[in-house]
Amino acid sequence: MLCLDSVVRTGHLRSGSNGFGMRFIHTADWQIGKVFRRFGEREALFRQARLDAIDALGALATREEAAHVLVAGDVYDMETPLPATRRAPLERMRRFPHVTWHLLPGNHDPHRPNGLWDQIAADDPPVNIRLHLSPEPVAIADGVWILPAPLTRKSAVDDLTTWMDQAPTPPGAIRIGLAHGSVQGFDSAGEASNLIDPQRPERAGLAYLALGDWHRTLKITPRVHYAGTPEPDRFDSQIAGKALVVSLRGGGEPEVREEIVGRYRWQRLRADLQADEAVADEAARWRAIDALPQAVLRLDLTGTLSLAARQELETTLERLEAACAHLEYDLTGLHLRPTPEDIEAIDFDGALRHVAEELGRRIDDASADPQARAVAEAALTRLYTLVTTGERA
Amino acid sequence: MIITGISVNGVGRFTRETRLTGFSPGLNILSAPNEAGKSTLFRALRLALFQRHSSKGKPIQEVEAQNAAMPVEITVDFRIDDHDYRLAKQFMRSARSELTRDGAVIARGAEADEAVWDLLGITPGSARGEPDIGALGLIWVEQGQSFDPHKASTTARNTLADLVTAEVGALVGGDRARHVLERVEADLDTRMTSRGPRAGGPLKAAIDAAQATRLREQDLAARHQALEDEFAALARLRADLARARDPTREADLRARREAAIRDLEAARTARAKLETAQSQLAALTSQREIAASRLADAKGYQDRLAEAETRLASLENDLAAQVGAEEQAQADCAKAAEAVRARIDDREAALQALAGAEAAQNRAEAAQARAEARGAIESLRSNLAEIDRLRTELRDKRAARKAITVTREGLDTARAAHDKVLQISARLEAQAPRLAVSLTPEGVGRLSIDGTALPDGHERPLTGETAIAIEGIGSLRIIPAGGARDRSALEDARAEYAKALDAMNVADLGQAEAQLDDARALIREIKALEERLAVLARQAGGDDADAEGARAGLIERINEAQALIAQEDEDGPAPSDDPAALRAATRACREAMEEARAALETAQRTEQTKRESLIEARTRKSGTASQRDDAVAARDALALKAAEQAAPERIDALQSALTEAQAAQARQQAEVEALAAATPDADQLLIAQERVQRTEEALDNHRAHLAGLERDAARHEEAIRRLGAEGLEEELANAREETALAARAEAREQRSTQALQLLQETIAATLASGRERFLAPVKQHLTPYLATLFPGAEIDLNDDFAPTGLARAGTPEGYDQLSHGTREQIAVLVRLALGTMLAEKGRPAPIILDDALVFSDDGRIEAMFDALTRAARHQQVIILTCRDRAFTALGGAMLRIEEGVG
Repeated sequence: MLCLDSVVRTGHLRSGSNGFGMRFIHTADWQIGKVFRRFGEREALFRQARLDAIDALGALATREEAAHVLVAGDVYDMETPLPATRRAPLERMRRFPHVTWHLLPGNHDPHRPNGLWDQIAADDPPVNIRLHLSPEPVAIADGVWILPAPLTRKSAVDDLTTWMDQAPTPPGAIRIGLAHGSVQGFDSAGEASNLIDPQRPERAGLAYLALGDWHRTLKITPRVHYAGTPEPDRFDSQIAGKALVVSLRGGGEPEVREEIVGRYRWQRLRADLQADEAVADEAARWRAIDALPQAVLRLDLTGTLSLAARQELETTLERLEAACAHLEYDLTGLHLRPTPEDIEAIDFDGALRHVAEELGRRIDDASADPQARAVAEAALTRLYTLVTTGERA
Repeated sequence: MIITGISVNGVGRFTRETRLTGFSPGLNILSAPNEAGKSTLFRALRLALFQRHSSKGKPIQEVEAQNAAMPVEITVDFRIDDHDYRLAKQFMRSARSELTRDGAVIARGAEADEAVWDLLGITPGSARGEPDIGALGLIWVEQGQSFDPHKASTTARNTLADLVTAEVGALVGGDRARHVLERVEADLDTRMTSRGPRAGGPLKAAIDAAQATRLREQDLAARHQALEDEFAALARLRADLARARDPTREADLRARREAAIRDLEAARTARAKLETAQSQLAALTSQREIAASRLADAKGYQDRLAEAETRLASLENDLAAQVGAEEQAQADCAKAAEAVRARIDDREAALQALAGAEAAQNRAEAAQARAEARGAIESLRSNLAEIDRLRTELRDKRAARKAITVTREGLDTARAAHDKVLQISARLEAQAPRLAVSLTPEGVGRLSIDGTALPDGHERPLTGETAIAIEGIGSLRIIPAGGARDRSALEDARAEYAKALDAMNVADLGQAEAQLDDARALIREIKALEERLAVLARQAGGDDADAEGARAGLIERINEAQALIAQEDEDGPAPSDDPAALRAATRACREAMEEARAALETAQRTEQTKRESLIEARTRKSGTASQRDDAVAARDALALKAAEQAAPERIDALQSALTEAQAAQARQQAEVEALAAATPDADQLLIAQERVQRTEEALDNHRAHLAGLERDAARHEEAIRRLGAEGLEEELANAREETALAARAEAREQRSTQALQLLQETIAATLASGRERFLAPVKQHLTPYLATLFPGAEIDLNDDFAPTGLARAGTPEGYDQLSHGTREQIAVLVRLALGTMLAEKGRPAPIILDDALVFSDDGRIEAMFDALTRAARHQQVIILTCRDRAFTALGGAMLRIEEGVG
């Protein structure tokens, strides 16, 4: 007996007379509980953002009329989060009662006896959350079965999806695989060491294999996709957080669409500053970044600058830091070459000039310890600052 | 510049024009007592040169002559660059100023004031203030400031800096550098102390924070590891449990136990059966034995009878022998008793012989003693007589000696008195007038003194009053004048002499001497007598030469001898035999006696032995007799029994019974052996029992093991739940990031600190080397001066060219640590050096020292004089001092204060 509710709940799509399909959201690698200490005061914002991504996913599911969200592993960033951290995402998910959330243990949060998932199960979780803790087929809707491959150890080595080949489901059922790990034959961009056969859908009769572990939204084959993370948590993964809206119609290839659900944009930028003018140029480039207040930036700067230009750079970076969500920079590759103007600014002719010249000699001494040269650079910079700013003050 | 003259009026105590004269281009000394006005003149010089003539300020007021209502007039003559100048200024009243060069006025008023400054290279001051007199300030030392290190004004420093720059090339900008250095050091000070990072400073805070986060991370990591360990342990336990719960295992253990029990039962049954058979065999065996012994018994009786007969015969033999022995022993006893009696008789005879011999000996000895006594008695008596005689003689002589009262001392006294008398007499006589008698024939016999006629030619001294009787005329009394004293002395002496003689009871010295000689002779005789007496006394017996004792002893011996002689009458005549022979005889008898006694003892012992043998023989005999009686009785009894028991029919019956019993036993034996072969022995039974025990234990252990595993698993699960709830990984991830952040912050702070340190070192080094170069020329000028007083020493100067320390023999001393004298000397030397430097650069100015070497001792003064003399070669040196004597040695021109000139 079908009623409207159950239609919605099972998410059937009626498209013409072509039998029956399914739409769901594919996501993974939430890394709830990840710490961002180096972000200082803004740490809370970033932790919060990860939870907010769940809201975004719930909203997306609602908009797309998807009754299920499949989370392919690494819901949590660690196996033993604090109790509050453990409960927070569950509460977010609870707020979308018409969506069923399917959680799979990954390599960051494997299922071990008396571990995290046993604690969650024992803690009376919301009814719209289903935990897939053992490798056996589970019916999630009429004729729709999930075949989960949960990790029971941080470092599994076998292909945990192998059992799917022989897994029994009623004839005609839609089989959706849910797994976490790396795919054979591709450059390993993930952390899990267990490899997954990208031909699994063909071997196991899967309509779709939802993967997690790589923090990049990526299509491996038409039926094998990585959802990526809904909110990036590191540089060099993806700039914005995404999720996949997957529509299955009959036996054909699934329709997979990317949607952005994350708030922050993570970018790593490089610049080699070999002339003083380059500072202004780079500054302009950085300013031009899209959505600067949500930008999480890392600048790797190399090159050689005069004292004056170095001072200008420091000022620029200070301003930029105030403008974006978070700024990291590495200046160890940036060296000082004081110009005659720099030296004159310190002292025209006198004791301080001699001091500046002496420090300059140390900086240029190629045979000296790099550490000592760096100290000399810092000393000269300090002198420059004291003289040029102190005297004004 | 050379000062050639100063004159003042209305200044200090000078209320008339007063001139300071005698200036020379070199060394000048103004030696005047305190309060002579030296310092006033010096101050006046300064005022004239440096103050505007219109000035009415304190410096002017201070030199104004009090209560004089006079203007302050000061005139200074000086020479610069071959020109003679005169500056005449008047202050306070009718102020004016006039500068003359080579006799011609070249400026007046303010122009004159400023022209002088121009000449001297002085920066003009404001209308009110004293100008900056530059280098002059350094080398003009006021009273009481000689050993303060000076503070150079900017002008002074610049003046000197100019000089130095020409030589060195400038290193100015020290101020800025110092300012920056101060800020760097202040910043550094917040971070570091001399011992390390400053507590509470940013560096220490960063170091501590980094350390703290590291420790926290380590702690969390350890706890996380503990959780992982729990997981691992639990996984292992679960595997063990799975294995342990395998049902086949328990079934297997149970089966083993059943089998062991069954085996044990079977073994037990077999053993029981064997034991029954064995006890039956034992019964049959004992039956056989009884039959055999009965038979043997019966057969035995014959043999026993024969034995009894044999025994009896032997006993009879023994008895006969023992009777004979007894009789023999008896005979021996009788013989021994006989011998004893004989020995007793022998002894009696010997006793008697001995008694006789002893009696004879005694008699002979007594007679001998008597004879001896007779012989002795005479000599004893004569000895006694001799002793008595000697004693008497001794007594007499002693008495005679005692009667002599003359002593040596008495004699000496008398002699001395006599001598004295003679002496005094002689003296008197020598002094005395001499009477020389010359008589006419008619006068003979008519002159007399004290009745004694004086013959013709008689001469005598008249020592005292002398009355010369002249018969028929009267008498002449001659009274010598002197010698009264002597005469009385003579009387005293005579009295003494008389007294001495009286004491000795003699009439004159001669008598005394004679008596003394007698006394001596007596003493000798007494001594001789005493010796002889002692000899006799010793002879008489006794070590002690006590005559009395000896005498008594002699008397006693005489009495004894007499008694002995008297006894002869009782004893009868003496035997004629030689006592020696008699003694020998006595000895022989005694020996014989002893022999007899010994023989007797031997005989007695022998008798005793024989008696004992006899008793033994008797005892033996009676013992053997009773044994023989018993043996007879036994033989008789045995003979009866044998006749009864050893009958042949009985023997046959017993024999066949035995044969039967043997056969039964053999059959049973065979059966027992067969059973034994098939039955497990005791060891095997034990093994079966142990097997049962073991299998039961195995079953129990298995169950216990299972229970233990389950308990352990539960424990680990609990631990995992507990640790899992602590959020360790999340905390650990936090801690790791914090550690990284803290480490970076620490590195940054270290870098900043190092940069500050490098900056500080570089600036300080730059300043120091600059200063060194800057001061080099000054030090160069200073060295020769320094060497005169402190050879080999080096001096530290600060940027004001003031001394800050002295290093002697490499040991640095701060300026304040030096003695007053040393500081004074150094300060003066520095000024001399500066002045010389100025002079060499063509800017000579006089060096003025007002009472500048107050604290220096005479030794150093000499060296200072050398320095001053040397300086005076290059420029004018003016010394104001009240130490006249000390500074005389310096030489140089003596300045004079001339008052009331003109």
